[in-house]
Amino acid sequence: MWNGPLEKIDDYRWRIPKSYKPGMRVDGIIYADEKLLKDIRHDKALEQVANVAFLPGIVKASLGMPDIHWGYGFCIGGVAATDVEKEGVVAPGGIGFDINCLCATTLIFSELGYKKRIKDFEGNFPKEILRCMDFTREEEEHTRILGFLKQKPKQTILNIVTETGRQISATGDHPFYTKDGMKPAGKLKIAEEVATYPFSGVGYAEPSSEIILDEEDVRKALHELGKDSRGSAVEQIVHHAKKRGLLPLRYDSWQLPYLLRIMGYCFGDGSICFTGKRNRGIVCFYGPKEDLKKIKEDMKRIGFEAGLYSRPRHHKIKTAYDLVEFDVVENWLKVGSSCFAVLLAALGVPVGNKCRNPYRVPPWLFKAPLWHKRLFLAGLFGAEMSSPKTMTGLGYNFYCPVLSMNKTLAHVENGKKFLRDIWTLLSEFGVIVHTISERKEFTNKKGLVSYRLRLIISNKPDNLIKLYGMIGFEYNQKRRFLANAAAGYLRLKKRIIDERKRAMVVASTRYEGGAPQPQYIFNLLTSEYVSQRFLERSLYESSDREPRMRGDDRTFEEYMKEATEGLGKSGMIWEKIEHISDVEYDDDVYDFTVEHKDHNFIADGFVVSNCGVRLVRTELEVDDVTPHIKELITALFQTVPAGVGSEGAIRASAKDEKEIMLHGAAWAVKQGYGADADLEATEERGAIVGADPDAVSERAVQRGKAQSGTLGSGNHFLEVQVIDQLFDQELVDAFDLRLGQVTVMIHSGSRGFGYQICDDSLKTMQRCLEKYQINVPDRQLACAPVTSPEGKNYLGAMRAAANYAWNNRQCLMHLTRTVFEKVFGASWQKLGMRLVYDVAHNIAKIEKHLVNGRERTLCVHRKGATRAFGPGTRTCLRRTGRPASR
Amino acid sequence: MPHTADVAVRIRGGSLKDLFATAAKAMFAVLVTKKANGPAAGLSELKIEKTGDTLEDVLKAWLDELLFEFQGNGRMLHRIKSLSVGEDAVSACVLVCDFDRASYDLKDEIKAVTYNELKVEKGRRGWQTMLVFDV
Repeated sequence: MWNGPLEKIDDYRWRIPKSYKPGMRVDGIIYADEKLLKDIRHDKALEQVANVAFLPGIVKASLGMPDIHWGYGFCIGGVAATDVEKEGVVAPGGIGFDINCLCATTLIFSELGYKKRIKDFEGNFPKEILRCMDFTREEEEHTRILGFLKQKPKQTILNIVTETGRQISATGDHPFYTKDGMKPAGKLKIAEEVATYPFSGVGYAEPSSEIILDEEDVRKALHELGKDSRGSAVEQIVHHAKKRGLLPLRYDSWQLPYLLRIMGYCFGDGSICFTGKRNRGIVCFYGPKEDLKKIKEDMKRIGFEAGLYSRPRHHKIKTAYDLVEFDVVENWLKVGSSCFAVLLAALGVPVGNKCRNPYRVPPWLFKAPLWHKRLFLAGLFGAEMSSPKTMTGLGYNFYCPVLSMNKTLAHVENGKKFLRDIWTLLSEFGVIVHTISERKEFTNKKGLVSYRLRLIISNKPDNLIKLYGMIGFEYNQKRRFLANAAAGYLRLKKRIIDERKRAMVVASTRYEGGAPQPQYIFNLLTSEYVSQRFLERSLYESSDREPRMRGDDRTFEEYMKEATEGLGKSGMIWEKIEHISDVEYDDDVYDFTVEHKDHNFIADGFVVSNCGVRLVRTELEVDDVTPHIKELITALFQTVPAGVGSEGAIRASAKDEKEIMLHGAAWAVKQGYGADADLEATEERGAIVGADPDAVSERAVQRGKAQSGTLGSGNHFLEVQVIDQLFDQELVDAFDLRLGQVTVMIHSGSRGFGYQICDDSLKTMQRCLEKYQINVPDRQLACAPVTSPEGKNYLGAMRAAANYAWNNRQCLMHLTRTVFEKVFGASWQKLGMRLVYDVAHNIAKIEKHLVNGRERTLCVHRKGATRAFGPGTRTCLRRTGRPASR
Repeated sequence: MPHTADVAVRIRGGSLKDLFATAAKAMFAVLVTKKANGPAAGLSELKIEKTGDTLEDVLKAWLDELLFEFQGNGRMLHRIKSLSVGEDAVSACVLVCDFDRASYDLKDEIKAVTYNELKVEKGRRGWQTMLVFDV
C-alpha cells in the first residue's frame, strides 16, 4: 500500500507534490477517480511516477494515466516529456571510489574537486592538476601530470574491498599506501589497513562555452559602482581583464573554477569595497593564515597578486547573552586591484557591508555544471559553515551543519532568499536541508538590530556523507580534514548499524521459526560488531528501536585518532581491507569525448519492446463465426506462430531486415502482405522517420531473426472479438463498426529484436548516469541527454524497433486474413477485413508542444500509453480524432 | 510479483561462484523443461568474460550472455567448465549445445533479465539474490 502524499486537484486529478522527495523536479499528476485510485495505491506505481519526476529536463509533470500499474522503472501508463532544447540541470551519481590506479574506469580526483575516469585523461592530462598527499608533511597537496600510461594488461587484476565497501581494482604491482609505507597490491593482506580518501567529489562535465560576463557587463558594473568614463580608468580595467583572458568570461574559461571558490569564500568571509579619492577597488579575505595562503595561490593562478597581513586585535562584543571580550590575531589577504574587485562585483559578489545590502546567489551559477556549483558552495562553506562536530556526551552523532549569516531587519527577507538559493543548490547534490531559522541577534553601537539567519542541514548519516563527501570545504583546511574523517566515520557507522539490523532480523526470524537453542543463534551471528548481549536483547526484549552505536563502539573522536594516525591533516584515513579477489579484466575500447551541451534526456528502460495494438474489423457477425470457431482457432494456431520460441513463415533476408528497420510496415505491404490502405490506418504510416539500422547491435538483429510475423509470448495476444457495447454512435459509424460485429485485435511488438535493443541501451545508459551526472532513484530509469551520442543512438535504434514492430503487426494481420479467407471461403476484401487503426503504446517521440505559451521541442515518453488527438486536430482522422489504445 | 509478466526466483549460493552457477541454471529452468534424456548435440566451448561496476551488473551481464546465446543462436547451457567471479567481473568457460526440441520443451520466453529489486547480498551463510525475469 502506497502512503505518500496525494493532493486532490479535482475529481479526476491528483497531485504528488514535488516536495515529496528531494530530487523531484516537477509534480506527479495522476488521472483517476477515487475508486481507481484505491486500486492504484496497491502497488508501487505511484512511487514510480514520483521517481520519473527526477528525470533531468522533465517539463510540467510526471503523468500517470487512469489505470497505471507497476512496470520496470517507469510505471505502465506513465507519460513524461523532457525538453530537448532547454539545458537541464545535472545531478550526481554519487558513488565511492579511490585514487591511484591503472584500471580504465578508476576515478581520479582533480584538485578542483571533480572526478574523471583515468582513461578520460588521455590527450588532455597536461592541463589537469590532481590532488595528492605529501607524506612527509602529512598534508594534502596538488600535482601536475607529467605522463600518461596506457596499456592492455593481460595479467591478473586485483579487486580490493575495504570495511566500508570502498573498492578499487589495480594490477598486482600497483603500490598502495599502508602503515608500512608503499606496498604492491599483490602483497596486501586481508585486515591490513590502507590509506583512503573519503571525499568523493562529483563527476566531471565539460562546461559550455556560453559567456557569463563580457566587456559590456563590466562597463555596466563600473558605471553602477560610480566609476564614470572620465579619464582612462574604465579602459584600463577592461584592458587588464582582457589581458588576463578574463573577458569574455565563459563557463569553460579555465579561470572560472578558481574564481568560483574564491567567490564562494568571499560571500562568507570576504569583503569588497571601493575607497579613496580614486574609488579604488579592494578585496579582502579573512581567516587562518594557512587557508588564506591557499586563496593567494588561486589568485596568482588567475593573474592577481595579493598580500597577507596580520595584527593582534582586542574584541569586545555584546551578544544577546553576554559581553564577550577576547584577543585574536586577525589575518587578512588583501587584493588591491580595481579590476579584480569589479570582476567579482559584476559576477554578483556583494559590495560593501553584507548585513545591510541585498544579494542573492548569482543566477548564472544555476546553469553551471555540478562541479562548478560544488566549488562555489565549498568555498562558501569553508568560510561560513559550522565544523563537523559530534554532540556533547554523544560521540556517535553529529550536530546539524549550520550555515549562518547576519542581516539587518530590512534585509531579513533577502537573506532568507539567499539561503533558499543555497538550499536549491544543495538539493541538486541530494543534500537535505531541515529549515531556515531566524533569531534576533544583537544591537550594535549605532543602534542597528541584526538578525541571525541559519540554514540548518539534516544530520542523518547519509545526508552528512553526501555533504562532506561530495561538497566538503575549500580553503578551510581544518574543516576539510574533519569532513573527511566524518565521512569515513559515518560510512563505517552505517555499515555497523546495517550489520546489526540484519542480525536482528535473522535472529528473531530464527528464534520464532524454532531454532534449536538460542546459543546456536548467538554462535551464528556474533561478529565484530554484533555482540551476544545485542542478540539477546533483540530476542527477549520486544523493542521497535533501531540498532544504535553503543558503549564499546568507537566515538568519532576515538575513530579519528586511530584512522588518521600518521596521516596528519591530509584528509586521508586508514581503512581495513575486508576482501581481495582476482578479477579477469580486459580493457575495452576507450571513450574519450565528453559531450554534454544540452542536458536533456531520454529515459530508457521503459520503452521496453515498442509494442502496440491493432484492431481489424470484419463484415462477419457473431452468428457467422460461432459454427466455425473450432476450425478458425485451429487454423489461427497453425498459421500465426505464437508462444515461446515461435518462428515465422515470413522470411526476411539481411537486406530485408534493414528495409524493415527503415520502412516498417511498408515492407510487408510491398511483399504483398496487405494494402496501402492498411498503412493509412497505421500511426506514422507504419514507420517512424529517423530509424538508424547502424545503431542496432548485431545481437539484436540476431535475436530478431525469423521472428517477423510471430506473436511472441507474455501478455501479447491475438483475439477474435465481438462488439457487445457501443458508446458513441457517431464515432462507430465513422469507423464502420456495429453491435455483434466480429473484430480481431492484435497486441504484439518487436519481439527479441526490441528486447535486445532495450537491454543493450540499458547497459550504455547505466554508464551515462555517471558520465552526465544524472541522479535517478531507480537504475531502471537510466538515461542520457537526448542530444548526446548515446541518446541519439538509442533513439535511432528504438525507432528501428518501432518500425520492426509495425511491420510485425502488419505481417500478423496478413496471416490472420489468410486464415479467415480459408475458413470462410472468401477474400479478405470481401470479408471486409479492414484495419481500423494501429497504434504503438510504448514509444518515445520528439514532438512540438506549447509549454507556458512557448513552442518547445519535447521528447515524450509513453509507456503503456498512446497519444490521443481529439477531433479536428489531424487531417486524416479529423472527424473522429485518433483512436487510442492501452 | 505485482505484475503478470514476470518470473522471480530467489537464489542462494555458498560462494559467488555457486550463486552465479545456480542463477544460470535457474534461468534455464524458466526457459525450458526437460522431457526426455538425449545426447547433447553440437557441443562447443563458449568463453564468457564480462565486467560491470557492481556485482549486480556482473550477474546480469553473465545471464544476458547466456540468454543471448540461447535466444540469438539457439544454443543452451550444457555444463559450466570453469567460472570465476570477482566484485566487478566474471570469467567463465561453459559448454553449450544445440537446443533439442526432442529433449526439451520451451517454457517461458524471457525478454530480459531485469534490474528490478536485483541485489546481490552476502549473508552469514553465503550469498543470495533475487532475479526477476521479464517474460
